[in-house]
Amino acid sequence: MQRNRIILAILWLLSVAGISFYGGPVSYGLFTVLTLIPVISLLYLLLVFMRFKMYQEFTSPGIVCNHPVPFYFTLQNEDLFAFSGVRVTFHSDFSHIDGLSDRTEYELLPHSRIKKETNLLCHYRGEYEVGIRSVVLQDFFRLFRLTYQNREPLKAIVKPDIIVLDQLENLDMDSVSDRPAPHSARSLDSTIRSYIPGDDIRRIHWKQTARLGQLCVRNMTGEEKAGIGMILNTRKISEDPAVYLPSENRILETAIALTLFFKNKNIPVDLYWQEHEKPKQLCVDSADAFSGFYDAMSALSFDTDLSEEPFYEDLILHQHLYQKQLLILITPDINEEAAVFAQKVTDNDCDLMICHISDEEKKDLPFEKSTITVRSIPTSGDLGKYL
Amino acid sequence: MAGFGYELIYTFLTALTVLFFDYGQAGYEKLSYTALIFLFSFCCLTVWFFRLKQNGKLIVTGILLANILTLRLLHIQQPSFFTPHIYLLLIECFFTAATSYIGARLMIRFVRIRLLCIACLFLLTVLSFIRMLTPITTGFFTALLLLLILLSDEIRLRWDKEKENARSLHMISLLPFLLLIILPAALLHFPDQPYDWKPFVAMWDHVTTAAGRIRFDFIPGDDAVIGFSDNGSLFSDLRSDEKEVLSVKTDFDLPCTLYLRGIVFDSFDGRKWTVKKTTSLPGATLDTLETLSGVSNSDVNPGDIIKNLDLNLTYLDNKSAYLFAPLKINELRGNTEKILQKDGSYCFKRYNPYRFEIRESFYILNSDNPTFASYMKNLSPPDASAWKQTAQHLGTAYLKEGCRYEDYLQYRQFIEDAYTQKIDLPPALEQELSELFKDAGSDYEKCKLLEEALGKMDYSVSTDPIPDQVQSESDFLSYFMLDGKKGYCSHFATSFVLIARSMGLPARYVQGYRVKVNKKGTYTVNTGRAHAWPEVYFEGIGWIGFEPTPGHFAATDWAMRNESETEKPEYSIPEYARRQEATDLSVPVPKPKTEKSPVFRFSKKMFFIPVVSLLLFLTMVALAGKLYRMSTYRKMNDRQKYICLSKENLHICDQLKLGIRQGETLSEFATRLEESIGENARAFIPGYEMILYGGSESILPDLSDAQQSRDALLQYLKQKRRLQYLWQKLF
Repeated sequence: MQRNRIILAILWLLSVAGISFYGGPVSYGLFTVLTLIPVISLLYLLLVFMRFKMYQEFTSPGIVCNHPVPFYFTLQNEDLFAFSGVRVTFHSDFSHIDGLSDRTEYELLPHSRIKKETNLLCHYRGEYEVGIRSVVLQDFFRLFRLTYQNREPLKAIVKPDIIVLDQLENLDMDSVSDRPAPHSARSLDSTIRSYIPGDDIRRIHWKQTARLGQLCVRNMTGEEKAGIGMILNTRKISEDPAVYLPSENRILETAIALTLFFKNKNIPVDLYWQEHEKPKQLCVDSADAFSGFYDAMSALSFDTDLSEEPFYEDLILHQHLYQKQLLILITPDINEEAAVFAQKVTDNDCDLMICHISDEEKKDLPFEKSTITVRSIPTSGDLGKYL
Repeated sequence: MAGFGYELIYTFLTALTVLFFDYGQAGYEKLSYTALIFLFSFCCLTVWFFRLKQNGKLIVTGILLANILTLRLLHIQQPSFFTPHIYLLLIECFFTAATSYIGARLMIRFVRIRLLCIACLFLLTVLSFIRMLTPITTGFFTALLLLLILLSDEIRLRWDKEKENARSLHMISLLPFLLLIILPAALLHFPDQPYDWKPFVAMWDHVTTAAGRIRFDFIPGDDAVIGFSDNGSLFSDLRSDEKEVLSVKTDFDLPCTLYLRGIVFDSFDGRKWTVKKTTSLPGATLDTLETLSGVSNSDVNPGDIIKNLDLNLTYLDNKSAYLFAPLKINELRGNTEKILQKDGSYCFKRYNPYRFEIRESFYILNSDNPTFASYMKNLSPPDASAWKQTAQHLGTAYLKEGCRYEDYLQYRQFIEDAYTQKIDLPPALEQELSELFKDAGSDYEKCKLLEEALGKMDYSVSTDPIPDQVQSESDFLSYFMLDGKKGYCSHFATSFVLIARSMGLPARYVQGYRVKVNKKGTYTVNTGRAHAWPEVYFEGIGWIGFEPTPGHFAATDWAMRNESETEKPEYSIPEYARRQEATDLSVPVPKPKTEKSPVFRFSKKMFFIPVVSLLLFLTMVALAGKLYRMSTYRKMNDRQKYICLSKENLHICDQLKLGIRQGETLSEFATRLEESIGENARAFIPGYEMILYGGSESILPDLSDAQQSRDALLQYLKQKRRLQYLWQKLF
């Protein structure tokens, strides 16, 4: 393109010099032609810009991270003149389209179309733009290039990937699943909930029922197996999507993978996190519960203004937390608040595993490492390898 | 269709380019429409001929032969139209079209030939541009269009992009844009003169003026006349500086010397001139009125003594406080609010504005005419009535306060006081002067003698500094007139003024610019034109300037009416301004050629004859072809007949748009045929499949199946596409 422009500029300057010395239709005509070439080229580009049509879609209703979905895009020329050079660039930060390169230029003859069927692969969970990012048009003399952004971008809502773990490294599953809970026969029920049809009538708490006027049953935690506690740090670490998307994606993948792993081992998992500054809790002990949990994780929104200190302090006050066989903290940052929490957990003789989601391995940990298991998990790569 | 158009465009443009350049070199200005029509027709036929199959080629040949026959018949009827010229034109167009087609095919197919053509066209353009070739103008633009098409094709071929093999469609679809580039240039009318860039020059002037104006505002003003060392000092060496300070535009053809007065000085202390006496009276106006009153009051014809001239003055790189104007200003036109009169000259109320312009109307004296001296002998100051009469005649500007007769008397008194100091001459000088003036009849003659005497001294721009002991006017005269005897304008002007004053004449020292003009035009005044000269006051005519500086002559005179006009014309016509003689008529000027457009009278026969002859020809060809095919068919064996019929059936299916598709098997094709037409249509396919894939020559399907299919297909074709049915039946 630069070469063509330089040649045209030189010829134009020569013609300008020519009309200063020679009159007549030849010299003026040549000058006019050389002046009109860039004008008409721009006009052509403008026409192509106005008339060019493109369509893109992906047919799958739900997109899951790292699972390809069919993607179609069509470039169409409905006019009587050819579109000499059309290049399409795609969003590539968080997604990838198979078989399509940003460097490919297309020529569209009159009343022709180019249809491509391929696959879209999203790398991270979240909501972001996918598909065609911009279109670059070139004229037939390759003098000018016009780039314009896609006016109707495709937005994809991507769910996190479900990774199935066969085993966890350095974790004795037998001890986790068989260790009896520190529970005495006269320990009080920790929770009471409403009666659900199917519950054992022997578990009905008559006092509470009389008080509340509705059937209530005891949640006898002492009778159930000891579960796993999982704490998620849902503070958004950056406003830059290139930074926070991979981190959030990995946090959720880790949570889902671990929960699935324990669920498959018949070990209930209690999850704790904060969303919109409110503490949330979810127990996953069945397939249905896992489905609800997965939906909750897919919709989970991280918050920049989230304050970790009150969250950890609130958790520390949950005494039943220390009755878990294992506590897992999934966090992108091991800071002072996390260290205090970790210390408290270990003081209560509870095992703690910290999954540090970061591409940089934290070397100076604010607590004694020997009491706590720290797994550094980068934001990319095979999760199973790190767990 | 796109392919046909593509080849036609290349062929036709190539042919046009060749023809236009060829005829242009022969001196023709344009081609006739007849030639263009012939050329286009032959190009179409040529392209069509080579693109068609056998039957098509026959049709084209038929058309060509029919046209030849028509021409021959028409020649008999209209011999005036079908001159040898027409036949030559036909042959030329035919061969040009044929060779252009070959060239076009080579261009389309081979890269190197295409590049060679691009180079040749570029060369043709350049040669036409520098006038080495003279094509017909349209041919030049045709060549440009062809060049653009070749370039766009070449760019597309070298462009690394996903594209279909449809070069022709791409080019044809872009052709309107290429035409948009060429057509305006081809249709606009352009001048024969090179472009003078006036708007850009004007724009540049505006920009430089604005920049100069900004710079000008930051330059401090200057009271001195630029070109002089200091205000009124007589320094040793003149500063040489060629800075342009003024622009003078005259609209008269009188050769004369303009003395543009700036500062007027009255007092000299031996080393420097200063202004000590001031007046608020409009001295310049009063001076003009005195001159006009005196002239109108005398017996002489005023035209012999004074002439009213105009000039336009523009200040360039000059921020002076003074308005430079000649003596005897009649009127100033322009931004005169910024100007006032002071001490006999004009000055700005503040410094002159940037690029100040003013029109000065003034009276010039015929002072170098020998008879002017005799006029000067009979001078008398005007009386009140003459004064008033003159003022009324000139206009209201001269009636306002400051210009009354009483003011004039007051002004005369001022002159006496300011410009007539008594000076003691050195005795030696006094003696020389008395010797010089012994034959002088009047004060004016004395002044002229003094002017002449000083003019014979030595002129030098490098002089010794004035000695310290020179502290008075007498000292200066002693030093310069008796010792130094060389100097530049300031020295001579000073000497003149002092000597005139010693004679009792009011005289003053003036600094300004001296501009010698020959004819109407614009003269740029630089600092080298700075000058000093004396002015002497004579009652009845006012101030008169003199030129005592050696080598400088005022040279302002014109013939008076009582003189013979043959001896001294009023002005001489410069050589260049004479009317040009007529060109030599003995050499004939070649007229531009135009190819004659022959007159063609259209008649109905011209339409019917070729159509009828074409139809006859086609019929004959069809019959002959059919007979040949029938004969060939009869000689075939059954297997060959089956194959022939099957191919014909497949051809009919293609015409019905039911032909076999890519990747489709014969059985799928058969199913489709049965669904579309009927069972009979597919009857030939199993036999054909057997022949194609059976391998053995002994396999012999039933011929009646193929014939049955043929009949069914023809019947269907007759219903759907009757024209093609007829074609099929004929051929």
